[in-house]
Amino acid sequence: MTTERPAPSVCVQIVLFHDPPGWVRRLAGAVGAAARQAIATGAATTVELALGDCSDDPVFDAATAATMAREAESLGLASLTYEHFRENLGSGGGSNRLAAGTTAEILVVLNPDTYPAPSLLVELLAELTDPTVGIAEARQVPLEHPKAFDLVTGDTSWASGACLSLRRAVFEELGGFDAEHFPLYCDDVDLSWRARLAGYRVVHVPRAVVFHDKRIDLDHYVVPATTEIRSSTLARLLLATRYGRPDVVEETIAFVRAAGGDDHRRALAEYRARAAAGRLPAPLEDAASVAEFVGPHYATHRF
Amino acid sequence: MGERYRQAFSWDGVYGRVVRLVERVARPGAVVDLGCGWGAVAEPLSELGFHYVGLDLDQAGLDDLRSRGFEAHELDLRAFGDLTACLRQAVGDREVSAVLLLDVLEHVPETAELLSALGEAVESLGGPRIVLSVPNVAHVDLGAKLVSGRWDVTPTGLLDETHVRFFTSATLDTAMGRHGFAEVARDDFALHHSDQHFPGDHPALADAAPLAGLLRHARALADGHGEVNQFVRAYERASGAVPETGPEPEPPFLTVVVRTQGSRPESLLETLVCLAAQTVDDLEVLLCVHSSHPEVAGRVRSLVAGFARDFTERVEVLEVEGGGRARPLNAALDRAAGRYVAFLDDDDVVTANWAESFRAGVDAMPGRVVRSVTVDRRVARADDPAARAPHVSLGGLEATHAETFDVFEHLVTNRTPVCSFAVPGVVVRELGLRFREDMAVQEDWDFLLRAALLCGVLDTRRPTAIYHRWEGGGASLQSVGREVWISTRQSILHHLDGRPLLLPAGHAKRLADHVRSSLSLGDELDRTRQELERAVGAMHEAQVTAREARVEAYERVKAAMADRARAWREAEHLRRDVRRALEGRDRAEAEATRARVALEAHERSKLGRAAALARRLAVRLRSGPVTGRSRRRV
Repeated sequence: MTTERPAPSVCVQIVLFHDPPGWVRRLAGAVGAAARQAIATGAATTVELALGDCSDDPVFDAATAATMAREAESLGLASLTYEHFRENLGSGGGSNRLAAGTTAEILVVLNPDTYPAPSLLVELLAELTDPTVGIAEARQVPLEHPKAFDLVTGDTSWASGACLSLRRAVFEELGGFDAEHFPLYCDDVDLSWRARLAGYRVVHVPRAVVFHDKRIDLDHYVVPATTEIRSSTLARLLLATRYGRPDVVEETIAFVRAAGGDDHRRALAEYRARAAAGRLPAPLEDAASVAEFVGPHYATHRF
Repeated sequence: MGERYRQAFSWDGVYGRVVRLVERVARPGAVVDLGCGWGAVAEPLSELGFHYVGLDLDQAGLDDLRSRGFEAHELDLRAFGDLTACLRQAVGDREVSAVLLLDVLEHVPETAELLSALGEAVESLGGPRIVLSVPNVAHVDLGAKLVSGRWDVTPTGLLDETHVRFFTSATLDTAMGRHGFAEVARDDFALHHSDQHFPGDHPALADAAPLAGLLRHARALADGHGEVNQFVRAYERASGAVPETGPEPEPPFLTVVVRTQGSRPESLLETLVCLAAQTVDDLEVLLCVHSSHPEVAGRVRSLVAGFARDFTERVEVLEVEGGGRARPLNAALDRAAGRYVAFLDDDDVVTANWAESFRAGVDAMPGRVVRSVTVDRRVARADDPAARAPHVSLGGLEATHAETFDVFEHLVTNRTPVCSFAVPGVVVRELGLRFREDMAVQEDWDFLLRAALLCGVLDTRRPTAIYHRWEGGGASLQSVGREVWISTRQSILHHLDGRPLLLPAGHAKRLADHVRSSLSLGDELDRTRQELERAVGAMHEAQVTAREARVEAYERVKAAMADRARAWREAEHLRRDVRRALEGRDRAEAEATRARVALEAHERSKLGRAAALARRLAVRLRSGPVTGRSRRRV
């Protein structure tokens, strides 16, 4: 560590939704291993793991949660907390709730379908010692995200919520995730662009490796979840509205009319309903300077 | 026992091997032959300086031995309760250097009791060596006959009608080991054709038959004892207690063999993360660090140690020295405990359902090689030293490899990267399947083919592995010359051709289709050839016609030239006339000039008369043979 500042405390937070309990416990062990390495190398003082559960039925009963809390220390964690939210806050909303419950200086947002490499936290925390960096994003394996990044500086358009990290102060300055407009998709794009509007850099950290459970179908594309089309289409319309790109809104609507399926049309109907109710996000000033609408993506893609 | 066991001694036979083994392992002294029968080894042992003592219940044999001058005592081997006392009584205080059990164990129902009594006796006699001979019921002839539905008990031989216990190499090892006997030497007696090799024309037995070839090949894979007729082995009583083996731990579903040289830790980290994140965690990882500096191996160990305990306790790091690409894989196969075994190189990455899809395949068709689909991705090491990424993907996923396994296709080229198949562990452990270490490349292709031909292949059709194609070299594909690839391919086929080829059901039609399509290609080729020949014929005809036309034209030209020459000759007199006319004209012109000069001179002096004279002269000249030009000049 080149900095004179003391190493930070870290909170790794995972929002659960109907995940297999056995898998989540394995993941907790992997976070613990990453925590041990971060503490051993002086990159962090303490690492806590916060689990927030948006499922209808809790993933863990109280007894299991208590057992896990007791095991935290043996895993290398300062604490392991589990909270059943009793409502589906969405990934962004859940993350906001978990962030409000910690005093740690660094937040690491992790998807439940991931598995961190032991060196993940060390690599992310090293990046966050640079005050110009707002959000540091991990590299996903085995299917790395195709969005472009600067090979030397790491600068990129947005950071994927599968695994990103930021100082809690920055998170609070930005007001956290926008769970109202982006409950499922593009909450990470929106958070990244607001961070860049506030003058921070968003960087990709290729040496910070996280496994993300993406499957491949026989046409060798990543398998999309069934809800992805509706939610992602709505998110696109809302993003374009907030970031001053009515042309993208128009273009998306035209596409839905011409070639969209049922899921597309449902998204459009919801967008119109929100517009009628005055619940569209207000356009941000200078937003177009950070927003990157490239084809169907929010960044230039390498492939 | 009767006359039927009275067998002559031969140095090439079982008894010869017994005698040589005794000579090798026993000190000088008495050799006690338990259940000696007619004592075929008495003379040769005695010639070597051993004191032979025969023990048996059968009087005829004992009498015969005594008549040949040997010591012989009565002993009922079934009353082994007092074996020690009987032996002691027979040998007295003499030192016993060896106890023989020749063709005895298979006649005694209570193997355990006999060996236990023998153990005590051996200890009380000061630890003589045991030399035994036992028939092998796992001789390939017996296996082939069982396949043919035959179990032929005979008066003597492998299936002697008086045998009550049956041994293979493994069960003999187990029985002896359990009673504290450790093997010190062996000289097994082999027969390519045992006494059970009948009926010799049966396709399961006849050497020339593919079925027999296949059975012998399969038997040879299992262990080296397929042609052993009699086990001839020497043991000593092991010191110390017999080790009690506890229950074996439940083997994992999958053994994953990962091969690394430790030279690209960033890639290895990704491979390990992918394994740690498998949905099926019932797997062990054998991570082979091949020919690396101890420091490098140490870094690999600490990379592994960084993982969560539930993963690290399933990973074993093996340091393997020497050899080529196959050596570390084989070192791992020697210890693979999994029901199935799969392989990864340290730059392969897999999806979370890689192991799970293997298991689904095994559940669907146990015993087959399970094959998933690999997709390719081009990657490159970052050139810029300031680059934060050790390597970058250059593109998306590419479907380069076949979705399903085809035996015929795989005889021609490998369409299955090493990261996308799992073989049954039993083939590795029981049939000795290993990678060929004499191959510089494509050892995985050879391995897969041999496993596939034995087990068959089940395709999961799921893409679960990503193979990295490095731009700018580094992979075996780039670093080995094309001629090496071609020669290894030939070597693979040559190797497979050493035995009958086993194809899964349904392949006769496929083979027929292949042959038919190549035959119809041949027909088409024939037709094309005929058409070509016709075309060539037509071309030749055309050429002949053209040549004739050319000759004709030449002749015509020649004739025309001759005509022209003749015409030239014929025009000679005309040309002469013209020449003469021209000469005449020239002369006339000269004359005219002279006349004009004279006229002018005359006119200048005597104008009038001379002019008149000149006019007259001119008039006379005009009537002569002159040209127009001359006329105009006047």
